[in-house]
Amino acid sequence: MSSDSHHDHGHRAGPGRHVPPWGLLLTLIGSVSILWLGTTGQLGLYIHPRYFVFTEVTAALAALAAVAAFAVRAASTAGGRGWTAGATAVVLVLTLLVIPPATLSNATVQQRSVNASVDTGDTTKLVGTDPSNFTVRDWAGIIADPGSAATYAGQKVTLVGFVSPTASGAADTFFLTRFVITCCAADAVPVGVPVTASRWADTYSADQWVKVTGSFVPAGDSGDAALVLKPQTIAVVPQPAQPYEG
Amino acid sequence: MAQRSAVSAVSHDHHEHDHAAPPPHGARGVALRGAIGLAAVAALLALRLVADPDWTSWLPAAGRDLVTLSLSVLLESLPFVFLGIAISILVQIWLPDRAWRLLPRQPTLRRAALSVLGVLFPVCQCGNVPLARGLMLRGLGVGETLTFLVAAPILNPVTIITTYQAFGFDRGILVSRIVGAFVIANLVGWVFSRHPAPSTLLTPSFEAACAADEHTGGRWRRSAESFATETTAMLPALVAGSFLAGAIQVGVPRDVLLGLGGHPVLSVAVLMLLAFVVSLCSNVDAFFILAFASTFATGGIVAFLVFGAMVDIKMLALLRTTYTTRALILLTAVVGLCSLVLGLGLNLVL
Repeated sequence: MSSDSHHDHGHRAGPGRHVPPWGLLLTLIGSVSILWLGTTGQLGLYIHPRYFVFTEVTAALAALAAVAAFAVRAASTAGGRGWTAGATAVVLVLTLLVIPPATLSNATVQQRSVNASVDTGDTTKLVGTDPSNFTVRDWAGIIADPGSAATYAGQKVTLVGFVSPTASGAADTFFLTRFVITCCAADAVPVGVPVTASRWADTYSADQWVKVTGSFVPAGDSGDAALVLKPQTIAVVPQPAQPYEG
Repeated sequence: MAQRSAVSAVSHDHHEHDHAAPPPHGARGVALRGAIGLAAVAALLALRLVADPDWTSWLPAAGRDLVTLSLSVLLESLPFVFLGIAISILVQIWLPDRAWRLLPRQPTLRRAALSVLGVLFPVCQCGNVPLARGLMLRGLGVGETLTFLVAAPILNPVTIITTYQAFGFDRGILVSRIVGAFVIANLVGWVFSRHPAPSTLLTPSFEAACAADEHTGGRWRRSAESFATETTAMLPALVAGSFLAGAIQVGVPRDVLLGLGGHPVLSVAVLMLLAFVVSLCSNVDAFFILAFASTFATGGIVAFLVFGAMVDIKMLALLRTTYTTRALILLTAVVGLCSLVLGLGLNLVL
């Protein structure tokens, strides 16, 4: 890439400037990591399942195209400077191929506030259907809406989510939390159900995945929720294959 | 490799470079380089398989979330960029010239036709950037391609259907989005068509690519060159845009933004800022904002849906490969002002 540095001042080179085809390497890094994530069932950490097939097929075709273009010595006739592309390759290798894939954590929960944007518009449609199919998001909507909540006082449930401290750091309540994504993890919105457990922090830690079985009981006058989940059992479970609700 | 020597004859200073690495000829060279490509795939996969989580266990949680957020923007957009490059290659190299004669000659009508061209190419905004580059290489003007770039993410069947699924005809959101996109796109096209020297709105490296578009080599050969060129230009920009979007999301607490939801004027600006930061695909952003529909007034929702589909962090990074910073500031200002006016207007009327 030394030729680049000469050219920078004269800015750019006329027609036919040849840049090594860095894009082909970047294509391979992206495609290999998408196909690996897809094969090992971890693509859901980043994007909504409805895009899995499209993303994997496109990645496979792009990898083939990149190898074919490299084979016929396709050069890049314009575009980025070499060092930008090289630095991009390093960043991509580190983040996609070295750092292990990870779900979003409480760092993002705190940043986005649990139940900051629960849409209770849908909640009325739930009333009357089988409550054992309700997701954490459904319950978050129900308990935020006093009208629907009245119907479900005493309801027994089993829910899986990760532990989040409440915004005030209450010692006897944590949120059983899930992220809801519509497209990709960037749009994740945390939703949660308050679980009463005195001195929970002695036994459980934030970001730990738990399965709580218990029943909804009317909340005291504190807090936004009309109901809280009173647990009978809390079991530590492994992170589900699809950690987000969508 | 006739066209290689033709090209190096043009850029004399690259002679040494070319001599240092003489191209291997014939089928053996192709097979050898194909094998090297496959070996690279194997090496990348091997690195992923041996990489130990302990190597990076020192990363703080916020750092991990930054990586996850950035990669999610990247992995969501990457297939659309590949698809956009594929369509761009089709348009540049495989579409017969007579297809272009179907476009009206009169400038205003021509831009209006280009603003609904997205109906034929339902890729979302990031895929449209390589496509717009292909259109310019095919001879379209700067204002004309910007009209297409601004309109196509919204005026395409996938976006219209998903917006309908999310909102139906409630509160005029769908109609405002479609009409707003059409009007703003044509306004942008008109503003840029008034520019005295449109070629100065393009980055020198893209201008060079326009000039270098010699029709040499077979179509497959040119397709391969185009794939190499477009991925080299687009992917570094996409990665930079994704990581910038991730970093800003980690840095700006969202509840601060959403706390302003009730304010009739600020809420419009806040949702535009949110759209700018989150950098979502126009195909799905309606579902995302649906969750906020009860918190925000209609004007803010429409401003989110119109502005975010046209301009956001990731999109600006991609556009920067082709348009100068000044052109992008002008574009952002025009689109931003129009979206703000549209949102505030709706809040006043409704």
